Amino acid sequence: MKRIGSVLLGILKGVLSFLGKLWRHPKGRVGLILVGLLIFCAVFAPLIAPYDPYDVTQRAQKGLSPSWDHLLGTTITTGQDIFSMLIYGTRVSLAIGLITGISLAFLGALMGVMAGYIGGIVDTVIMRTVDVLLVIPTLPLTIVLTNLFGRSYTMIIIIFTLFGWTGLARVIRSLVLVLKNANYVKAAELAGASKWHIMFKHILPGTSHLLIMSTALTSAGIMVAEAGLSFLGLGDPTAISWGKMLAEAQSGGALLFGHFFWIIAPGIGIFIAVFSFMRIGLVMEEIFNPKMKQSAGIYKLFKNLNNTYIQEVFASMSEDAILGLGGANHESHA
Amino acid sequence: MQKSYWIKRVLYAVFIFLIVMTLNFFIPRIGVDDPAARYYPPQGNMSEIEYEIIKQATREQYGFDVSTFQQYLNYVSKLTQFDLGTSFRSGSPKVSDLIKERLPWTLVLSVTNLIICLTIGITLGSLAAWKRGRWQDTVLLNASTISTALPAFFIALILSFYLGFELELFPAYTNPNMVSQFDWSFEAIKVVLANAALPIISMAIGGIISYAQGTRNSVIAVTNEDFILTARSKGLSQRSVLYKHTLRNAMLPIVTSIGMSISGLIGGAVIIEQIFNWNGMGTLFLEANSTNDYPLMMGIMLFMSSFAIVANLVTELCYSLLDPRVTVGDKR
Amino acid sequence: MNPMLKVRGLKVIFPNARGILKAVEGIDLDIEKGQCVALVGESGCGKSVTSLAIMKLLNSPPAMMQVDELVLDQLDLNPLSDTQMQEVRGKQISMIFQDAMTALNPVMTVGRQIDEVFIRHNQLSKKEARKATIHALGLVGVPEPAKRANQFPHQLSGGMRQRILIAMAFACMPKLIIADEPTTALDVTIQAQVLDVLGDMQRKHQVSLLLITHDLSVVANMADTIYVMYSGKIVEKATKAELFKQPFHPYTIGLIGSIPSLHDERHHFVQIPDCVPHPMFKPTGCYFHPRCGHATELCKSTMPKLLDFPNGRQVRCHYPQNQGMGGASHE
Repeated sequence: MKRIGSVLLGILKGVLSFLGKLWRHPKGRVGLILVGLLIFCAVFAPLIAPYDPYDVTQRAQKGLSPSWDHLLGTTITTGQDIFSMLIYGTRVSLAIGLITGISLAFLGALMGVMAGYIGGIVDTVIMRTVDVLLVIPTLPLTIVLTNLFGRSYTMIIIIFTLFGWTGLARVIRSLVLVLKNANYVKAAELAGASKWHIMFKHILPGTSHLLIMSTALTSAGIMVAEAGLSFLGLGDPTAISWGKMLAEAQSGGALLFGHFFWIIAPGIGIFIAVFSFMRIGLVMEEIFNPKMKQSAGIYKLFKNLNNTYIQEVFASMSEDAILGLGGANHESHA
Repeated sequence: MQKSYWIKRVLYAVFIFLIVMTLNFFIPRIGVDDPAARYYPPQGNMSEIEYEIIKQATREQYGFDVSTFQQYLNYVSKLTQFDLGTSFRSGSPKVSDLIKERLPWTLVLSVTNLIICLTIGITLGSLAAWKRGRWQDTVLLNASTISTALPAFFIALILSFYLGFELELFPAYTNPNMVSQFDWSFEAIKVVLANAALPIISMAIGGIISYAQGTRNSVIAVTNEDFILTARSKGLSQRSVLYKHTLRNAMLPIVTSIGMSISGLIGGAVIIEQIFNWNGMGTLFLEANSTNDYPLMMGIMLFMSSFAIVANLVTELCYSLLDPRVTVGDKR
Repeated sequence: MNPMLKVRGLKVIFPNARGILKAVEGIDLDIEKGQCVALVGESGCGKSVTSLAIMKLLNSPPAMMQVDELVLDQLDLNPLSDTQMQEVRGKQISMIFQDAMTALNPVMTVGRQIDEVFIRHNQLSKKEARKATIHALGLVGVPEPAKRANQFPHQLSGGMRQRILIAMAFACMPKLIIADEPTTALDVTIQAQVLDVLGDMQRKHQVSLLLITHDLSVVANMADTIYVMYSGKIVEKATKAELFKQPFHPYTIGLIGSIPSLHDERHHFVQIPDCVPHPMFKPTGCYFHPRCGHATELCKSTMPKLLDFPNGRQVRCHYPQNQGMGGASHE
């Protein structure tokens, strides 16, 4: 119990420090703000949204154009307020994205660390499983499983988690193979620490940056996938989801009747959600791999260089400059 | 030494296939004692006896009347003859026939898409790498950020409306007669191309940007390597350095990406096909889903998985031919 | 006097967001025909940048280079464009890089990588080039050259790869070869072999060699003239004998003192305290003053000029050491 507690505490500390680093980075700050906004909308949806899209009594006239009453208008099919649907949609996307992303991270990390550190049969079994899972096409499989076991978001989360951990596991495993040879690990082994202890206290923290980065990026990918599934009608039919909104908009003739916001709003919702998570993931990658990102800035810098200043710098390096006011180049000692 | 590695690799692929095949067999049978119940769920207006008779007939027709193990053996033996089972739909067509009918249509979309993405994407990516830090590079970077956050199906919706419905450049919905009237004539081909345009464009936008960004990153990474400096120090022309040294190395990760794209060639366009009502494997699968046609669904899944296994094998082979450092099983 | 390479006032800077990184601050070099000149200094002093600058291989972002004179055997390299330099590189000047594993293209056979040079500069056909390559490999002591030529870099040992680089550099018998830390990445025993090959080739074919290293012991056997570089500036120039017998600059003295020797009677290592200044944040006055035991107020405030001594000796110091000791070569 205590071990799990300390692991969680370690994770929390790690997460907080990353958030701090992100905030300092200008691009990361944007991502953080957007994600914060989304989370805020998701949590406080009933307070922010002017209408409750689930409440049948709050339906208005169908197919209204945007007005002050209904900022984005109402749907053609049911008369629900589109703006409210947009806000409520954050709940589904964020919930599924984050829950799946975090579960995936745990499962992938566990598998990767075990495969990499313990090696042997454990490694073989895990990697073979990865190979099998990789060849099965995920979307059709999800469709089959929701068919067999019912359409619900819980189902979708489980399926995504069970089939999505493979990529992360592979990457973590490669990292663990390297970390395994670090001196502090060898020292712990010599001191007689148990395998599990080493895995959780020494190896896992070494993968933490990768984990967090991957959580952000996979959450983004999951949100796109969930939108696709909801669009196909495989999600929970009672919940408000951006993907479902898109499907309804298409079949309800949004474009035909010029009801653009019905299509654009969920699209933008998906875009902002995915974009902000990806931004966070990419900024994290920059933070941990600082080498890659230097290029663009340098070119701009060079374009705007003050040439006289540069010439001054060069001039200051010559022997003449050292001598002060001109004169002979070298003082001879002969 | 190489040969034995490849024999092992092929055996491993077969092993994976066997596992996938077995999973494929068991998945629809999870949680159900009697597969016939899946086909014919109990309906209210039937008496118990009538229902039993129908279920028995179903069992006999679809071979559920033997033990599960025997069903498995039948399943495997049928597979050796490339028989993927019989569909539940009326007329009981063979799954393999249905696949044969629809597969080419999906390939029209995905193969064309892949070719476009590769040719345009790699070229643009190389250009962006060449003009590193200038506007071409920045445009690509911004495009990448935006494109990855916009799902292809959303782009498809917008395009189908604006290019299809408003501007009437291409048909917004696939012509329902496109397949039946196809006779390899020039006219028919034009119809297919016109109808395929929007689906392909929707997929290609994201794909081009993705390949371009990948190529750009790979080329820049290689350009920073020491051996490029060596090549320049030998006085080789810029073109020589670019083609013989930079690209030959930069293409390696791209080959891996291409491999992954090929694996997803069949199953990757499900939503797009749905939006445009295109008569391919994706819509076939969705139809099977809506009618609970399990043999068809699982048959398609097995087909897609097998295709992925073969595609991976071929990709590994090609990669090892291109990169002399990859020899005996060191991918693990 | 038959100057092969004449460099005057070579300066290289790397502007970045935080300021200007001064890598090379106005150095002069002279190399005679057939001579081996060493450029010695710790990592971070700018010697590798110097070698790339001489070959004009520095990319303009991120570097900016300026040189007053850059002449290779009466050919003025300064005004040449990159395309024009491509004629010179590989044929008249070539370079041997430090890490042979990364310096070779991993997906091309080593043979082809040497063939390239022949095809490019001597206009040989593929077959002729391959013959020349095999011959070159033989010269540097690669056994079974025909077989090795068809192998890939990862299939060869470290010492073998270095020989490939040497063969590649000597291929067209250039006038000047720059060897950038050619032995740093190798085991000591292999180091000796590689240096032998290098020295052999250089003497036999009268090729001028600019040897860049941080290791004075490497220099002891090979170089005729030694330039000592510190933080972007040349601080001492002397012949090998003069330098080891009578080093003038406190930094040189420190470098020589820190070479461990089997015959050493000292019981502890002599160290130079602290470390090399960051090229963006250099000290005022003499760059070496924070680490110098003899530093005075003058040293802290004023950069010393380069003092000339007879025989071409130079030192950049306000208080050159060892001046009264032995030798008749100066004052």
